[in-house]
Amino acid sequence: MDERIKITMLGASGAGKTCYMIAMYKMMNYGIGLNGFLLSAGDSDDNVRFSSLWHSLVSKGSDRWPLPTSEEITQYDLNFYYARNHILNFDWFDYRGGAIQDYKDAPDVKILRSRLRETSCLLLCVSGEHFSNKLELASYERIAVSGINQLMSETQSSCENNIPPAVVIVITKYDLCKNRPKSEILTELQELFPPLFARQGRWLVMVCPTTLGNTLSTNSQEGSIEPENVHLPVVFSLYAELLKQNWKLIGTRSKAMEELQDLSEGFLSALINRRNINEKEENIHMMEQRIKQLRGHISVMSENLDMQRKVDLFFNGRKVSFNEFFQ
Amino acid sequence: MSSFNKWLIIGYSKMLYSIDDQWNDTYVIPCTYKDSDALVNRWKNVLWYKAAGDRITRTLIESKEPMYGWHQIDKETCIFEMLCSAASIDEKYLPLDINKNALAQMTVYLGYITQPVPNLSKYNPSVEFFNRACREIINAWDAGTDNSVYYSPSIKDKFHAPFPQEKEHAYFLGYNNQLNQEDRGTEEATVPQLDSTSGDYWAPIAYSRTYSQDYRILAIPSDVESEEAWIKIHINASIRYPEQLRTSVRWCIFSKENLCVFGISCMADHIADHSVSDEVNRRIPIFLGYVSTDSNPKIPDRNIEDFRRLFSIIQDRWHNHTSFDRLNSTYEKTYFTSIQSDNTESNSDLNPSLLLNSYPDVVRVWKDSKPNQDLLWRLAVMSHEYASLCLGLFAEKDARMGPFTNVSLVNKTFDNIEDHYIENYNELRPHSLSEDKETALIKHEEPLNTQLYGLILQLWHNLIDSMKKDLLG
Repeated sequence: MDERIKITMLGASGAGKTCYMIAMYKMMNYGIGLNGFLLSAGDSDDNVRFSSLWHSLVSKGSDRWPLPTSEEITQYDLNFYYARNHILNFDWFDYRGGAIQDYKDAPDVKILRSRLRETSCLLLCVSGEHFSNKLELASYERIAVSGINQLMSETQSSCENNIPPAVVIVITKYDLCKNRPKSEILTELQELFPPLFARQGRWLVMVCPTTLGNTLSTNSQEGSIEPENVHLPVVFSLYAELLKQNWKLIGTRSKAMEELQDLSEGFLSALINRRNINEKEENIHMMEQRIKQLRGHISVMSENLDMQRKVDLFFNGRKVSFNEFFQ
Repeated sequence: MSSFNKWLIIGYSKMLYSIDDQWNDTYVIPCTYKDSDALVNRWKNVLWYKAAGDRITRTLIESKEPMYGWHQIDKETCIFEMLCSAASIDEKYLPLDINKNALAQMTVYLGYITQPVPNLSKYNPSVEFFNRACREIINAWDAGTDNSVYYSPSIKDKFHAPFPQEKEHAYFLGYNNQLNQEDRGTEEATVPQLDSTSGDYWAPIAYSRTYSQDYRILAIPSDVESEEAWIKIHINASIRYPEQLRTSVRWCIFSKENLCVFGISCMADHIADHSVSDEVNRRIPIFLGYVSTDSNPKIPDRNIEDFRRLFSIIQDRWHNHTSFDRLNSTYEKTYFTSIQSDNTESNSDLNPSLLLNSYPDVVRVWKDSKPNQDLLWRLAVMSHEYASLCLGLFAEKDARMGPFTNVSLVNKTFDNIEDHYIENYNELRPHSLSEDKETALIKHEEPLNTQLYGLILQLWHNLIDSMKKDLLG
């Protein structure tokens, strides 16, 4: 695959983006990875960096948490595998949360906006601390709702055919709000980001609760790091991208088959266009192989995401199941 | 580090608007310091204007040009002074004459009184130099009713001499230049021919987060605000992978035409000597440094103690709890002052142009070690080219992605000398620094020695030539 897939994480300052990224990488980098999904860094220095940050996280004490991200955007080149088979590579951008609310001429804001136009999947990080009780109006500002919704609208209007990228709403620090029914939190999320749940909005949205450890809510310095669900947003991002590629390829194949049929109509035409026909057939065969391969990957990811029963999928504002959507 | 130069505005003229026909005196006297009264009294006693008498006034009116001078009134006190017509201050004072005398002929005396006597070779009295004092005279006129004394307020505006902005802060803004007798000149030299662009004048610069607000410039002199973007590119590169700053500090120097910055990136609590964290309890990285607009300023040696004082400038801003308000990001204005360079080490054995890379499109990478850090700093200090340096970055990627042309790296093993090119696939690299060119990383083994330098240079030139051929061919 020549074109690199881009995943971008949005979220206010302090939402836990960097922590999530570290935990996601390390959990998917251990041994055979999570549920067979494995990540590795393209640059070995990045691996060292993630390991060092992870080491700090699992060490207990006040200094365990990563420092605030600077105005300089960092790009990570990551490789994704399933059962040790390489599936694809993607780029991951790490940037400061404050960029959402900053002036558009700030250098990193410019890059972020341009990046959003070509992103395959958006990870929208919202801290669970805001949902520990009924959502307050003050939280809107702390979540940077208006900034995020603004970026979402801009992203959709700049996308091809207005088809927006897939979105994962990652509820970080879910341990802080696990006391509340999930349905209430989902309702509040829909109030926070109405464009994502609009009836004809064409947004494919997954809501995924994550935590770095259930004991952290009571003791952030000494609680154990035992991440949960951190791999699901990445798996979904790539699932959505493969799904898109699959649909695109099916469309191309259908068109190629129609052209093939036109060329093959009548004995004389088939004879004259013999070389063309052979090429078309070969192309169609390759596309079918690729579609088959993609469907295999998609099926595995879909099953995995559905099996978890920890995530919720929405399309056009309606809740759907993975199987339903895939079909 | 010695005491701070005190600079206070003084002025004397007639009242601009006289209610009656009595032309009262207007004095502009400073209220910045508790001991200013004593200074002002001494000044009044030696008031040059009065002493000069009518002869000077007549000369001035005839020539229509301001007259400048300096006057050392005692061992430790000096006055910079200007005698001019009111119209020299502002043209609007030229025609004002309501059946009175022509104001164009009203003479004004103004200037600065300073302690201790500064290095006079650093100053070139001119209308610009006295601009700040002129404005205070206008303020005095505007404020004047029947009160003939006007107290000049705290000085916060742009000024290229070391003016205190707040009395508490004044002592944090720099260090007095040690002056020898030769530099002081003599009292006979009343109109010194001086060059204000030479010397080692620096203004503090600070960049960090605050308790609740995102990263931003917290202190900068007005003169270089327009260069903020360029400065931030370097600062951000120097705090890349900030977790490493938990256990170490990074030093950097970067310069371009008439702008030079040096400073330190570290954890704020490291320099503040007390806990500094944001609202979600994260420790905070910070950059503290000095900026100079001189063409070739002398950069002092690395001394973390010199930077502790700078933290005081921004301390008040630290707990600014106004969240999410980028509009509130006003700077702390800082001012240029002289810094005593302790860098006395002989550098006659070194040739920076031989060793430091000043090409913006390539990065020269060194192993981070104490001897290399010392050597590279000395080279950067000596360099007359626009070579930039950051000591103690983490990995090769950080060097490649950043704007620095010379970098020492922590996470790198240098077994042998080797050279290679790296494709500059870097969409994040600032466009002003590199566009579609290759980045070369040249690695050096430790220890550095001069025998290797020639070899390295040769390799370097070969690489550049080969790159050019590839590009052209």
